[in-house]
Amino acid sequence: MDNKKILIIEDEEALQKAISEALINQKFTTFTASNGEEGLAVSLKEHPDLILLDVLMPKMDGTNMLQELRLDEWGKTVPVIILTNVSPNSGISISSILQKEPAYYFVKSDINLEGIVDKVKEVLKI
Amino acid sequence: MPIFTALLALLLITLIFFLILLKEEKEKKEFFHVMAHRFRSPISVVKWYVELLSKKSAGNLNNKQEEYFKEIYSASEKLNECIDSLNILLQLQSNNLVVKTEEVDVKNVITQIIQKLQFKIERHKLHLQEIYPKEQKIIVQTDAKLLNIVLQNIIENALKYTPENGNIDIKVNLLNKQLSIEIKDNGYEILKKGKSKIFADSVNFKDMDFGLYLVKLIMKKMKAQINFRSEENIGTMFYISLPVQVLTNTPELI
Repeated sequence: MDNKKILIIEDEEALQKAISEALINQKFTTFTASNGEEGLAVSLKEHPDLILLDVLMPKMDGTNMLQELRLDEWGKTVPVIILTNVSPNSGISISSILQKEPAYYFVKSDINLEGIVDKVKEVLKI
Repeated sequence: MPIFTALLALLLITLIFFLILLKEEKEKKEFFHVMAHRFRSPISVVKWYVELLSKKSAGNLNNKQEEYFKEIYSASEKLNECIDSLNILLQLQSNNLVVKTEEVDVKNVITQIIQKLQFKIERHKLHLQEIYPKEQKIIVQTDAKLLNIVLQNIIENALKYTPENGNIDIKVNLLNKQLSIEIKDNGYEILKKGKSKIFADSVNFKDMDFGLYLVKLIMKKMKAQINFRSEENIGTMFYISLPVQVLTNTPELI
């Protein structure tokens, strides 16, 4: 798993660190970014195998970041797991984000770190 | 003519008042969504770091520390569930709740609830038994989250009102596209006064126990039946009957 690179785009530093630690414990290599703009730049430079993406973030939110990412030739197919606390019925339409496949969606407070790591492994078919 | 003008003015005032109320209602909902989002982030921080500590990624824990972390984790999950419940209650009240249709393994839902409550079950030395039809997986099409809230509330209610060493049986069946679940305990009888309060049309929020009220509203929305029987020295049984789509690979009991 040490050759699998995961990018965590999350503005809450404490959450970003926790996910990163859980993935590093499972021998993944992690990159982090604190907003969509930074996340997009790191994505295009590092070409991670999978992206964990928050929705509500400063500068550029996850929705716009994903839109920009899918315009790139490499970015079209990279799997994205959206980790957010936005309720599915709130103003932001999660279903429209999920149409930009391959994308998966989880409410952060409903899932534990083990669940995130398991989902990453499942998507990467590890 | 003056009567007509007065009526028109009255109509306009009513309309403006109604629009203000609508706007206030919309603002209230938006405010709740923002607050729910803000609450959920620190809850995730607490849960995830407790998880890291429990996995001993920062060193070993002694038994007491492990026990205390379980309490913190369980409390943060409860907080999260409270936000979910409030969210669903608001959606039900404004008739905005959409009942999803997704593949649900009922045994899985119940197992996860029991795992979550295992700590309390052990603490109260309760004997919990799950009864499923033999050689049959209960996989149906329904709303997983709503089913989870309903079952967890009823099971938690049984835990709360069953004394130490008591029994709780959860019996699941699938018949004629009806999922039936019975949750039976040999705990205290629900007194007459309490019986009328359960599943009442409104709830006294001063009681701070709106779990069964929410269950009733969810069941109604899912077009399901719910009822209970409570007798002295026998205990209480809640039973629900929920119409579901059965997946073709799930043989139904006849």
